[in-house]
Amino acid sequence: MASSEAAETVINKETALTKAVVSKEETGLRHECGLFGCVATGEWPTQIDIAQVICLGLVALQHRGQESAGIVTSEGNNAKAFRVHKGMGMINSVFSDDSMKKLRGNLGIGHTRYSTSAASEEVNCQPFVVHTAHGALAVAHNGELVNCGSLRKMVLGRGVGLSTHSDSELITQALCLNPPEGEVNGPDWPARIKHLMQLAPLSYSLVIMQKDRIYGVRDPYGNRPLCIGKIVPLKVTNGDGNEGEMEEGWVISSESCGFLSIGARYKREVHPGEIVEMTKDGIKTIGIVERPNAKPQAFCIFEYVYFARSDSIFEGQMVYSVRMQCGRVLAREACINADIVSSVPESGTAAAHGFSKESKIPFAEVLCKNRYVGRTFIQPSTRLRQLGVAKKFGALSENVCGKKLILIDDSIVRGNTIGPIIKLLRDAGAKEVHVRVASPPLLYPCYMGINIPTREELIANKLDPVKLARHVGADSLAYLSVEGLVQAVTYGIAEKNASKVGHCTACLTGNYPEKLEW
Amino acid sequence: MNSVNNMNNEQLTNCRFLREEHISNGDWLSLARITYLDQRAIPRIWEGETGLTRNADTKTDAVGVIAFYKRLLHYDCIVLVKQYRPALKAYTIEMPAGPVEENESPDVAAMRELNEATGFVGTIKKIGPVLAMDPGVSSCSMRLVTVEVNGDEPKNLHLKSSVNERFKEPLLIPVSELLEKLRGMYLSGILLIPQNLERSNSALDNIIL
Repeated sequence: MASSEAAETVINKETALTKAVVSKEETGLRHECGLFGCVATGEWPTQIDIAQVICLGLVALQHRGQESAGIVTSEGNNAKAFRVHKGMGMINSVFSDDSMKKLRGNLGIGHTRYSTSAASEEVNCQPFVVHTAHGALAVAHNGELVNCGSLRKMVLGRGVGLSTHSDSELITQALCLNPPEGEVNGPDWPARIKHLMQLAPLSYSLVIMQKDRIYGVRDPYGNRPLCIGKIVPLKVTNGDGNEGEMEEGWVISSESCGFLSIGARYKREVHPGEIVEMTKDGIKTIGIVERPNAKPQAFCIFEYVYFARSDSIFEGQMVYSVRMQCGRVLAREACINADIVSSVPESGTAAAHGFSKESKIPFAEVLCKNRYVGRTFIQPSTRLRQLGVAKKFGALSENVCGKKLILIDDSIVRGNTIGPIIKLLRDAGAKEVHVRVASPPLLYPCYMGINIPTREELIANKLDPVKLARHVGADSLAYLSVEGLVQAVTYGIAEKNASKVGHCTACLTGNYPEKLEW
Repeated sequence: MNSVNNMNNEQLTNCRFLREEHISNGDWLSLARITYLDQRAIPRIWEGETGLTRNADTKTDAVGVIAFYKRLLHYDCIVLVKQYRPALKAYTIEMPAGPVEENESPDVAAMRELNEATGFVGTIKKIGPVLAMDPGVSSCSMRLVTVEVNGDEPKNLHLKSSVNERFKEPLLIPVSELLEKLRGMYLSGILLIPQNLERSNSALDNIIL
């Protein structure tokens, strides 16, 4: 994937068409959403600036969505009123000093979004807040419901109105329905959540806030990531054993990359199917929903390949290490004689280092990336469209001239961006350019929350590696095999039991974890 | 200066201290009768409290500490002290304060007072000018010292209060909530020390209204 920043234009209703044109040309996979939640422990009110913590947590997740963001906080005691602030744009532009002051509270949740199932409009900004008979409820969702249609019919059939086509709103409303066993002592939110999880098996990570507690939920397949961290006083983060006394709060996040910046220590992942409850007294597992028919877990493998930040931890391993391992396996599968190994910055770099270590071919940078181009508005005229991608990169001519080089990219989706890059390198004097892709070819769409283009747009469905090499102007092209990717991804996982570990490779193999609705 | 009020064409000079005699001594305070010359060089009498340890070099009898407690991702707080003041027959909210010991400089005294009240170790930001505490009846002078406490340092993590004969309870109040909290205390009968409110021009009005 040559361009890792997906949202390259300003979101604007009038230019939505332009956006679509540019996106089709340049971007491939679009990022999905990021979730964050925080509770202060101990006697309320504490002096922790909850709004600030959530804001920083969301900034660390900005790579997962740049379209809109929202934070909802609660005082805790007052069930009726939450404090809400949502808006379109990057977190820096949505949240000002004033809005942060208004979001004072003792616990809260936040969300950063890129649209998957609903249009890019302000009403779809999350977290969703609804007022139920038993107090306010706020929900933030990452993922996409595979059985959205039938669930929507059921919810509408129970007399609930929906104001959007978003499946996140659907989840929120479904949570407001009474569970089948009935509720004797008032609202039983854990039972309602369990009921929802049984109705909708895939895919979602949720943070749900209710008055004075936050529930973290991960679908039974563990398709979307979610993990927990503990806030400790700053200079104690090296972990000394008196952890119990030092606990100042708990955070829950789609990825662990933001934890250090807010003084939190990574604790663990939320297990697939787990409902974890976070209150001022700490965290507690209140239930685990099993997968139907003892099917294997299905953690989205593309989180490792492309989406997650390199410093995040999944399944006990760092994402950067997995990407390096992919490079190593790729070198074993598809090495070729060359002078240097390089990458398309920055997404292919980890794999390129792994490739270099395995093949003993030295690593050298060949491209210089312009960080500022991604955010400028690009006019849809032919000449400028072609310039678009090349504008983002420059060749490091001295490193390239006269060399045979292997260019590593983390994935190829439409095949539009790698072509111009190869041309750039040849113009700078490269003798040979061999493309090696650190993931298998994308052949199928994703229905679990990653917006992969239609089958027709996926270049791997039209051209095999040999034809694709010719199409993009490379001397050769090869992908990492599916077995190789799975091997690289499971290499660092301590648990070797196949029934406990599993990854969703639907976009690569067409094997979907759950039967799709149509 | 000399030509003020020169209607009768008199010669006016500045007032001048002549002598003081102690009227009565307590354990640590004494009352003095002070004789001074007024602008027309006529001797006049005043009564005032003296006897506080006066460090001749710094001319400072006491320090008051304006201490800000700052911690990553926590609200900025101001350190205040609640104590019983027998002379007022009431509780007060004040900043940490106390007399300067012999041969102690104002900044050292400020750090010591803060540490005794809260257990914190801070860094000096600013030492203010010499201020008169209660000029009508006392010779006491004070300097306000601004201190910053880094709450991320392990030694500043917890608020300790060293127990001594005089009841002193330290408080950490978020700066953004200060007026609201002070108002609440004022309404419950606790008296406030004006220096606390120097930040806001109409602070006292805010408290009362």
